[in-house]
Amino acid sequence: MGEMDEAGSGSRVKLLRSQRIYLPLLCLIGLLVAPVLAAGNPFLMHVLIMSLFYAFLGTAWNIVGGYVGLVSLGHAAYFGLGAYISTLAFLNFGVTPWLGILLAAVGATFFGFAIGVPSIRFWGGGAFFCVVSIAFAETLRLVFLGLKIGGGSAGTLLPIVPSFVNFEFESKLPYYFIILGFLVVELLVLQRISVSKMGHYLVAIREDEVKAEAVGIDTRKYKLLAIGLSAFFTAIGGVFYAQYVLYFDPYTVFGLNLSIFIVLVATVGGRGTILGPVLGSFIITPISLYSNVILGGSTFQGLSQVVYGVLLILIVLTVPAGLMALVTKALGSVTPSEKDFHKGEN
Amino acid sequence: MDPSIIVQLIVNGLLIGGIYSLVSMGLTLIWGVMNVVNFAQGELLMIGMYIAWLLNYFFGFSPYLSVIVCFIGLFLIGLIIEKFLVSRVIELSMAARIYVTFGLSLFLSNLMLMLMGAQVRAIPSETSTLIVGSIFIDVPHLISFVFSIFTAFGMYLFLMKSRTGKALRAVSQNRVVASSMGINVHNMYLIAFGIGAALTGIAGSLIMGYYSVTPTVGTAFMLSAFAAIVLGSMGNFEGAFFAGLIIGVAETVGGYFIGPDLKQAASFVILVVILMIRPTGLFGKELGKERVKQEG
Repeated sequence: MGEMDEAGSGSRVKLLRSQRIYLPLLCLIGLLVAPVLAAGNPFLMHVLIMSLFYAFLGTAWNIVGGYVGLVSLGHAAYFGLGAYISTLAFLNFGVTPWLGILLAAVGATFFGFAIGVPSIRFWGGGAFFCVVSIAFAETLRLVFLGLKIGGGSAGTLLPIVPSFVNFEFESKLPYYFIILGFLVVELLVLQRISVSKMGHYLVAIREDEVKAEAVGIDTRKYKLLAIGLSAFFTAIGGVFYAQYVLYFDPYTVFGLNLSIFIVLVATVGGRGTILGPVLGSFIITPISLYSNVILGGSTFQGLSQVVYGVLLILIVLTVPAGLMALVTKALGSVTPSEKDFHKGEN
Repeated sequence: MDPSIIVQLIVNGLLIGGIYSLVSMGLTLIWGVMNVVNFAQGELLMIGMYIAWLLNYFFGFSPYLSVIVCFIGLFLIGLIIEKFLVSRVIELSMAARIYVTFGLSLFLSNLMLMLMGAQVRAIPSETSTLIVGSIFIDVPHLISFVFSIFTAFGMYLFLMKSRTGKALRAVSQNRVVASSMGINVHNMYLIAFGIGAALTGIAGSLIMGYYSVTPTVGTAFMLSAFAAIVLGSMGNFEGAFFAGLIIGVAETVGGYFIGPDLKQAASFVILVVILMIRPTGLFGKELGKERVKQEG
């Protein structure tokens, strides 16, 4: 895509370049001002926080699912580990969750490597990785339930002791800015990676693994790096969730539903694009939260999953590159055709 | 520890393993011929179970009689799924194939949740027990086991002897060459998916002799069946049969020692161990690299 722009006429290049910088900047300014507009409406504030939160998780998933093209349906594993590691360290040893974040992220990264080694070893590429990822998340759920870690099915309750050190706040505003900050940092990291050697390697692996290997890319190493990085950020999301909701259990943090939602957000927005998952989250999360309120919990549960299932199928059949592709198309830059997009992956 | 308990556990495991074998054989057939992991396999089992339950509820059919209805019904459902969904993505990326079958699984289980509710449904039956030495054998388990062995054997004969079976195997070995030999590959996809679903339908009906059904029962079976097809070498039909039995035993024995809540963890442990030490499974040849190249 980059080369295509360079080859275009000068003014168009300038326009595209300026769009590339100003559009995200405009979004950021909007997000900085948004809490002012949402003041006095705690639910709207909650919707904004959750949209940023799922954008953060979707972006983390995108590193593996979008860039390398390995569809993980078990990201809840890293998320749950993050929540449990920091919370148990906090409850048992009084470790501040700010340090807990680091513990959680590093722990999940190593877990990611441990999962990654067996699951990318085998042929069958993506299919295999996908099922093994589910299996690991489900195993963790069963183990945490069965061994009653952190209270088992009763769940883990964090004591309400608001202070900066405890990563607990009375109002929603600090949470909003924290998750916004996390997201911005994550996006900047991803942006750096996508223009770096590693980013090109990852895409090369997605496009054609055999050829990537043939030109000397250590595909195994780069796949593992991507999995580790993705796990790192996802665990941070888990810590944030624990500190924001102050309660969680193995069903919510290790459940398949969470993994599915993460995939959905990233896929609807656009796999393999930097801002896709953010776009996806700001569309899907508000709809899901509001319809949950309108329909009521139990009706919503069944219906939402039916809709998610249909959405996953429809997106792949109609706009596999996600809504971000439509946006970039509208802005006049070149996007891969649907056929090309699919051909690209392994 | 009383050795008869171990024998008892192994027998119980084998009896439930027959069901795993059928589901795994369906899954591995679809994988072998089409290179698709059917994430909706567990949901197809669930649908088979509901068909058996409904037939019993309204017409008093025994689940062993419903086998025929389930076989035909799931075969047709399989054809429809292949024709309208899977065939659209089969030439596309692995990710696209995952999305479609996984989306379908999500759709089916939750649609059923809305239609049937979350209640646990079971077919009322008199349980009877056979006592051989110090081993207790539950008769419904035994009947369903015998049925599944016959089905598996029938399927094996079909694949080995019939023209269609040979064509299916040819496609699973090399679809390009098979196609150049005049085999209609797309028809083979249809048949493979139909049979894969039908095998699962039979399993669903058989298991209703002693098991209860909820809309979300499929996921657990799907994951166990996946462990089985890896253990039995993906795409290997006989392998899936024996591995299904092994997984049944592993889960029953594991469940006894580490607790019934964790029994499924036993099959995941097997899955990971086999991936680490012998990723081609117990029955596989080294076809990994060729496969990747062939599928591109």
